[in-house]
Amino acid sequence: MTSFLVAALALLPPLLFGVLAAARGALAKRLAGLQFAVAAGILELVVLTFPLGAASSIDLALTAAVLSYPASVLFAVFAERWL
Amino acid sequence: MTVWAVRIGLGVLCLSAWISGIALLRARTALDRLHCASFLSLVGGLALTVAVFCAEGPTLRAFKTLFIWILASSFGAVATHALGRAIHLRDGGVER
Repeated sequence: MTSFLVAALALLPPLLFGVLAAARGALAKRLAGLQFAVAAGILELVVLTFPLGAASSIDLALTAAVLSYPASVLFAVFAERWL
Repeated sequence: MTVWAVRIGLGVLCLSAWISGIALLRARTALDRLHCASFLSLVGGLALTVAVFCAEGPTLRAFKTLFIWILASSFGAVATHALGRAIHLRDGGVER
């Protein structure tokens, strides 16, 4: 499980890059940064299930994957029509 | 052999995350940034799925990881397309 712990730590800076990209700049660039942060966050959650030792905690990543992408589509619809 | 397969899979995952993360910060336009997210979902997700299957075999967690990768690829493609369309229409067809 040490490999997964090292991978979880190594995935944190890219996740931070995504959060930074989603926090600054124009709306369009922030939405793209949000998309990246979502992808990185889901991968981080999956990798973290191994060091944590609770196999059921992967359900959090599964829920995030199911909910976050439709949310991105919703953001896109709002950005296209009303914002 | 299995340990090395896991390490290689996780290494490819971390490498793809770093490459796409740095590319995200350096990308000039929003449409370029969308490419980074798709790359991470596809390549990183595939590498992670392979690593999990090598580490655990065909367990429930491994199949959930596979399902997450399939979701990220399919839903992610739809979301990326919707975002790209919204960005393109907002900018009046000009890349900024």
